[in-house]
Amino acid sequence: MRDGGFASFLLESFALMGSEAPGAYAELCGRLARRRVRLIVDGDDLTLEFTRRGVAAVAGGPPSIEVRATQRSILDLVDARRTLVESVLADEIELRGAPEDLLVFHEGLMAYVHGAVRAPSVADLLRSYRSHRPGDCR
Amino acid sequence: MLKADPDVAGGRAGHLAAAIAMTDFLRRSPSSIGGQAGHKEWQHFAILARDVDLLVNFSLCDDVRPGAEPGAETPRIVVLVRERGAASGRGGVAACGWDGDVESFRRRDAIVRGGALDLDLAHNRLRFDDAFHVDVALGDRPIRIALRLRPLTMPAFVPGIPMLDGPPLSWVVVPRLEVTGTLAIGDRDYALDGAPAYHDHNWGHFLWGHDVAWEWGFVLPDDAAVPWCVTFVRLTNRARTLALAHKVLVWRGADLVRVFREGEVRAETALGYLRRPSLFKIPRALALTAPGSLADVPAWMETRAVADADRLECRSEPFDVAQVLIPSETELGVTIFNEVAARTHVRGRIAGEAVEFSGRSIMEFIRHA
Repeated sequence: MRDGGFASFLLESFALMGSEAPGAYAELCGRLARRRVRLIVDGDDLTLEFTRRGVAAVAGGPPSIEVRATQRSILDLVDARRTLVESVLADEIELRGAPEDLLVFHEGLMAYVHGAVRAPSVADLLRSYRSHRPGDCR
Repeated sequence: MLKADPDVAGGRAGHLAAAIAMTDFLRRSPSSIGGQAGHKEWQHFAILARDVDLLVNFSLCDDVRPGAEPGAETPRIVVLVRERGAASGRGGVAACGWDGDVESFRRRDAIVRGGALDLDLAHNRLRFDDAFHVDVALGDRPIRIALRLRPLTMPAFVPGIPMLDGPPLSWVVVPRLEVTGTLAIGDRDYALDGAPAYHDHNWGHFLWGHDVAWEWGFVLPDDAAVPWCVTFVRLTNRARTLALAHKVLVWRGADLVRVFREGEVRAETALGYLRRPSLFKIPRALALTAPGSLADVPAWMETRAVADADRLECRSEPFDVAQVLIPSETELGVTIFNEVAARTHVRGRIAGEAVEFSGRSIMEFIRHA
């Protein structure tokens, strides 16, 4: 069910990307295949498992990469108020994992951004996420 | 002053408008009626006012994603503004005084009248009668534009610019216009009355990411009484090892008086780069994929043209740059439009008359990442 929070935003964006920018979605899944990514954003705690065929939310399990962020730090990146490096150095975004996994995560993140800008419906979804207040619909 | 030239102020104004109406109309993609997809066209305006530079670009690109409906297009407006003396800082008023955005529109929000210069992208409008009318209000940035741009020169129609991956590109240039109207950025209002401006229109079939790059620019004199203005372009492959087209166009008063072509033109650039402490990029989210502050823009560029007894030299010295990032259609990359503010000095001799003036330029260097 859509609650406008980070987890629903991310999962819906994957679905839109899969239909509207399938090349970028395939690249994203290919780059992150065989890895689990745990994302903790405000109140949402989401673990994703990537295969070459797609991505799914899974219950627990040890992640290859763990990301802690807030809606604000994510929108700071999207709106170019901060670079990724600046956000990490300022502890506004926290990344945990082996160096090789973090490099792969970065490659996956770039594919995600490329896909998001190529999927026209993601713009409206992002607008909806901007208007979400963490703690709503909980 | 050029704007008081009786040729322009009097009977020729109607000829200018008629010539523009006959050459500068929207071509439209043939893909909606079964023709070749991959069509692009854009209408570009650059305004060089005292306190602000403003770029406005209306574009229509065929949607070439797999599964896109035949005839589907991506309508976009790009606005880039550089305020002199504006506060610095990313996100709000941009570093180095830049602001702007790239806005895409749904197909149903675009009303485009092929064969005319008349389009609506939601509430944003472009019209031409005896002048261009540009009305834009961005959705996600507090920028509002209401301009009338009166042409002062005849258009140049340059068809058949060769491309490596498809049919030739076409180009219409109206290099000198006079602006009336306003620009509002947040609570800052700019009256742009009397500001000089440049306009062009390109169309053709190709994809962003194809084997093409270009270096293009114009020079508008500081002194409005100077009758000369110049536009130059070099179109190359991406590696910039092969020049596909190289031209310098020279106007005197309202008239295009000289076109230097290909073998008559040489370009030389500095080995060093223009360096800025930070680099403003739009759309902002795509900056994540093309980070860094080094743009592949030379510290200076000289274009020299010689043919018969005519010769012209333009030395441009860029001093600021911002980037418009457009998703490549052939790969997960971006096509980078470096929009460069520059000073240019022009000198030479055309039809026995000495030419020498300094002016402001906008240059565009296409790169890829």
